[in-house]
Amino acid sequence: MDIFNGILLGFSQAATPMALLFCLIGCILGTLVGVLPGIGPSATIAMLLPITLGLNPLIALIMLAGIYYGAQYGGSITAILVNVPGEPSTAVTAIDGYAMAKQGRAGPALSISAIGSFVAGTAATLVLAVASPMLSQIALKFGAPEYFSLTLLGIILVVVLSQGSLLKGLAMATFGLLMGQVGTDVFTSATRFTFGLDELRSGIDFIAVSVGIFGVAEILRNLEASDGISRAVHKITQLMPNREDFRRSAGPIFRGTVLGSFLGVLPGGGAFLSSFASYAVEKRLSKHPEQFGKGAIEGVAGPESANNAGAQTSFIPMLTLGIPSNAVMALMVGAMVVQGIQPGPRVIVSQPELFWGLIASMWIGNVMLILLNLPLVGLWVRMLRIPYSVLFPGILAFACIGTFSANGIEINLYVLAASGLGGYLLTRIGCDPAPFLLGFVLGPMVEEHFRRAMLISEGNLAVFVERPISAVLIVITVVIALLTFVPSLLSARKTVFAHADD
Amino acid sequence: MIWDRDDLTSGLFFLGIGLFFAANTLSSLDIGTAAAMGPGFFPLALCIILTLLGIGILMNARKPAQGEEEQQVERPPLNWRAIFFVIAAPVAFGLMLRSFGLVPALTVTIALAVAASHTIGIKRGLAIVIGMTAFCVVVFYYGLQVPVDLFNPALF
Repeated sequence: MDIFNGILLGFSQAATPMALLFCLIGCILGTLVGVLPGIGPSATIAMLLPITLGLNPLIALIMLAGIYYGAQYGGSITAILVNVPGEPSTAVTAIDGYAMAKQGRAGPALSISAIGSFVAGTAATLVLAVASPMLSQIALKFGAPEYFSLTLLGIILVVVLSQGSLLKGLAMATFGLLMGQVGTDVFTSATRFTFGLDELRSGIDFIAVSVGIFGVAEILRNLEASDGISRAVHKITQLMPNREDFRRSAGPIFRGTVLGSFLGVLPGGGAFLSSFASYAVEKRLSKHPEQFGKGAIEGVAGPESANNAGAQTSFIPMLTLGIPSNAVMALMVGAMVVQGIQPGPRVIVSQPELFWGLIASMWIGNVMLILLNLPLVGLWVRMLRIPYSVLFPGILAFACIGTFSANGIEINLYVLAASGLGGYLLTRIGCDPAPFLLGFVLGPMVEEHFRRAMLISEGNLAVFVERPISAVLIVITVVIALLTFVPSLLSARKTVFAHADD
Repeated sequence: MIWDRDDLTSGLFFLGIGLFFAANTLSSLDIGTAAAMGPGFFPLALCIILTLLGIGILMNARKPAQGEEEQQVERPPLNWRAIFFVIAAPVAFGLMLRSFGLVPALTVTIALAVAASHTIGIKRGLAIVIGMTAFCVVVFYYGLQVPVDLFNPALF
């Protein structure tokens, strides 16, 4: 199927009343959790996974995807008006966006960020439509050894690009892989690490773990600080940017889109890295870098375009290779698996309506978001007045019922409690839960590819370097792993993330 | 030289997990050979890697003393009250759901959550418990039709 027919098919799937309704629900929820600091898209998607079980797979994915890119739109509202990033990926937007708000220019900042996001979202949708079929064509030729090497590369990249120490990231990924081993071995049907609990025979429940390490752990993190702070919100006087604003924003929006589209594809990339990279680029290219931090509109336009483009192109490795590039994509893989779809290059061929429908829905979602955001910004701002102390008991109750309703086993609630506590404590000692979830999702797959490859080669590890594609992937993995231990690169990485910690 | 407490804790944690699961694998699972792997081969490999990473983190945990003020990041202390009540909430939900029914389980869960925060007064707390319980019952029982009883019929 060529791209044109694919897109037509996609719109026919994504423009049904049901699909439009759930796309809208996803976008609204996404904007909402984006606006509210302390609730992220990962926690929301995790908690909504059980609810999507009753929907058809395309509708479920459309809604969950809407939450992710919708949160990029919503996060910028909080960043600009309150100087608190609603989402980590909007942290740099707060620098110049808030400075603009203090000068009474909150309206233009919000408009430019919505317009930039829309342009970037449209471009990234096209990138998705063009690049994914090509990539999946290549991936269809992959055998078990290639897949194993590719997964290894994916994990290394996520670890390298995630926050915190590399060794800890690797350890968390390995720990995740190990937890993914719990349950019944598919080759021999021996039970592993179930400690006599029959409920664990089918593995540790993915939904319970992800709701725990994102939802519950997030609540615990938020309760560390005082939960009763009221926030000063800047007024919006004039919404439309002037001609000068548009002129200065065109370049950053374009560059941000390109940068975000590219970085989004990288495992570990996505929205977060893209916005930081774009800010750095714009500051370097600017003729007046001294204005950055004091309300330069370029510092809003670039990162906001980049994070939305990155959010969308991060679907590419997930849809074409079945390899999630960040925690949200790991959840999307989980959503596909619970729906009975095996993620991988065959999805485009065997379920074109799912693939193209999702892509088309992203563009529709972007149209909805720009309509939701600009005229309704006052409504979203009002949401910021809800104190966290009212929100979190509800979130916790939703997490409990949601986890239980997924398959009706009480033990999953204890898994939820344990992974919430574990996720929180590990984050406190500098261990990022994202690589853990990635390992946990990929665990069974990694093992299967490894064992298949070993069967083919009769136990010879050389198979991974004798096959050309696999060898290239292994070489890249090793080079990246080695490079990251070079001190100069380590310090460069620190400066990229220096802002992220505050 | 001083010990970085976070590195020390996480190193020991990963080392412990690695060794524990390795012991479990060796005692209960067939390892096999590389050409004909048993169910324990891959887990054992992961345990070995995890143990080595744990040792690696521990070896990095000793830092020169001059970076002291940089190493010890200011961090809010553990909020034991919040941890206790937030973790108790799903556990209580799991214990109560079947024996008492959805409404009592939700009420207790949300009450525990409310107790985790020290800024919610009694009046407001009660309002949250009643409001949220009603909301969740409407959404999940009537809306999404989660198959549980509102009250366990055996109680009456």
